[in-house]
Amino acid sequence: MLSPSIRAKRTGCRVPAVLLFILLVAFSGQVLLAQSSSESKTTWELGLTADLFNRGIKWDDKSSTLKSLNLLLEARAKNLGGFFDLNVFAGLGNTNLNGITFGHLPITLDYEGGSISGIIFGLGIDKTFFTTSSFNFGLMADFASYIGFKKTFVLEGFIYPGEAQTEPDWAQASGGIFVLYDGLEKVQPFLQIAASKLWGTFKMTEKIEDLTGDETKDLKDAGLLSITLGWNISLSEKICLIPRARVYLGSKTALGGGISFFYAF
Amino acid sequence: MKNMNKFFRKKVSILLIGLICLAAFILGLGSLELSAQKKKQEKPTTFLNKKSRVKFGEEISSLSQANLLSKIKIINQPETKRLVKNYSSEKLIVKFKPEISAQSTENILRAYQPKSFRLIPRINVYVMQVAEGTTVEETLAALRSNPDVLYAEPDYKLRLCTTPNDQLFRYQYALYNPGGVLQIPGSPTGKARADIKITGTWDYGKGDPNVLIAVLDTGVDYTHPDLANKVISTGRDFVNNDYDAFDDHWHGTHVAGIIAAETNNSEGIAGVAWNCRILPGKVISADGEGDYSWLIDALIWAADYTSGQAKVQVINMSLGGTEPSQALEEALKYAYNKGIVLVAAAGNHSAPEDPTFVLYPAAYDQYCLAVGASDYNDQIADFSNYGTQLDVAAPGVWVLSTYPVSQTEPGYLPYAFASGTSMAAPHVAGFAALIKSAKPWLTPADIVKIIKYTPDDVNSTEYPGKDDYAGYGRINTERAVIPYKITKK
Repeated sequence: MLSPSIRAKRTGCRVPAVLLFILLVAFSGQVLLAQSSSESKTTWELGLTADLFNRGIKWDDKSSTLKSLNLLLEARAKNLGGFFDLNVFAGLGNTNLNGITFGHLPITLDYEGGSISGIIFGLGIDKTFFTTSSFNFGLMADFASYIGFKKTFVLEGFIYPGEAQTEPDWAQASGGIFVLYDGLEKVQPFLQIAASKLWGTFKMTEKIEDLTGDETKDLKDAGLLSITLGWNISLSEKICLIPRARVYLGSKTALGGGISFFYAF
Repeated sequence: MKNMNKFFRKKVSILLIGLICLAAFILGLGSLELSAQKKKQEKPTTFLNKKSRVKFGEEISSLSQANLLSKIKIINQPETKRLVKNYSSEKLIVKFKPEISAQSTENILRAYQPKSFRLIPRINVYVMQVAEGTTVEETLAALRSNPDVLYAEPDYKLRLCTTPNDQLFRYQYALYNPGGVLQIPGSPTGKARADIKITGTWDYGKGDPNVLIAVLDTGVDYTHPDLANKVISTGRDFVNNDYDAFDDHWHGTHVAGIIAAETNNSEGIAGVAWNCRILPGKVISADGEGDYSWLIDALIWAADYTSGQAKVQVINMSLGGTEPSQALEEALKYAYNKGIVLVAAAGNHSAPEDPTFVLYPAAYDQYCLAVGASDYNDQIADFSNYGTQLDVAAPGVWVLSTYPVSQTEPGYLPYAFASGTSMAAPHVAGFAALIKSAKPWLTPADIVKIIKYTPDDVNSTEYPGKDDYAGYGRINTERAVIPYKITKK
């Protein structure tokens, strides 16, 4: 979770998100150094993920669904330092925030403009802490941040043509438990239950000749609980496929999912 | 066999996983589609407020009954009075340089032996009655040669911006124009939706009772059944110098009804700003004339007026004079700087000798929205004054509104049809009040820009864009108030 001071300072969530990301990567670097002296063997993997991220969000006293189609490059280190699995990712996100109304602008704008491209990056950590003959139990945590590119829309029908410019960003931090079934040879189903916090902003700037205004909506999750069901499928010794389905529960339940390919080297 | 079993298990697992992923993906897309459809359904398919429309329809149908129609007055005004002299023969306005103390200014004034003088607060302007046996012109000349005087000017005359009429319309077409032949004697044909598009706007707001619109005019009949609950106080009479701005003409009552007649009360007419309230200020006498000094006083008074949470946010001036005045401009600036939207009629020229330019105060472009008149076909009225200062147009031909009860002849209803830029300006004042009610954080400059940039350019064929005749166009309240939907192109 972000500290209150970090949360209070942000104008968007960009600066703290980037800082947190850098800190976590630096931390993992330290772990890597420690790992070099460790005897445990670390497996390195590169992956590609397509993810449909759907999550209920709240803004003002209203709610809608944040939808984001993300294409990610991932690097995964299994058993890093003999201690945990680390996953770092970055890629392109297409976030759709349709349904948000900017009522404080001189001319109220109702956003139905569809997806806005941006960069998305983050990392995740898994740690197995208890193992039986068929089950692994563990803890997980992950963090993701999206920074949208500016997108301009023409406002038609006014005496002077106007324009509206959007600037979204959001971040999410999750922590929870997982259980993985290890009784099958090539397939490992897993279930993950997490508490997940989302925050972000959606800034809209309006300009019609010399009539100007801007408004920033604070976005937050519509519920904390997420449940993910997935499978680790070994297609070969080096290739692994991970499909997963995810539901965010709360006042605005949303279903999403994704699929990842990993190549071990 | 073992290998076969492993192979089979692997295949089934992959197939199962694929199916689940596909189902999850389809579900995700489905929820996206359903959500989009739901949004479409949630949006109103019509701009009409059903309840208002029904109510409006009932009013219309009741008005359409021949026996009621015959009971609505058609104001057969006398010709606009021609002003031989366009300023007071007794009073003038003077302001001294800021470095001169109040004591000194009054001593200087006394040296001219005035019958009386008084200070208009806030802008430090004196209104002075000239000495017995002295003319205004002589006193003005003397004052202007005094090095302590910043400016001295005549106390110009105001007049009402109405034009004669002799016809009756059955609709408040200004608020909702159904188009087609209007079922009244003469059967004029109206253009559908040549109106201010207010019915859809009411779905998004009907005004705030704490938003007051000062009507600086002939006063208001605050006992009128359609206004009694809408007038916040008996106001201020600057003509007779008392606190009873009762209308002894008819003009102010008509203007007030257009702005904020009580609506949805099973009788009478609908006002533009349903829930906003009126503050009457009388600056025009019973004979239809007023002095600039009364208007200046009234502007300052209205700008300072508060009652509980209620505050003047809009001032309507359906009047004008032909002469500029620094004192008037200062008073406008004072009100504007207090966050008030100022709306004024552009003026009417109903005879060849009438000026066609935008009258004052409307011509003070920096502070005032100057309003011209359009008709039921979105044509600019031929009497509507024009010029570069003209900002927008609004319906001002055959507008139905309230009429003083005390002046209503037996057998008539207290309503009347009237025409003029005087009738156009209150549509804009009511519109400004609706915007201010919905978005109290907006400045007068923002509200003025919203009103100017959202009209329908009704004369775009001849004069595309802003022009001297319709300004930016006939106001369109929907475009300003209903949320603009940003869609994917």
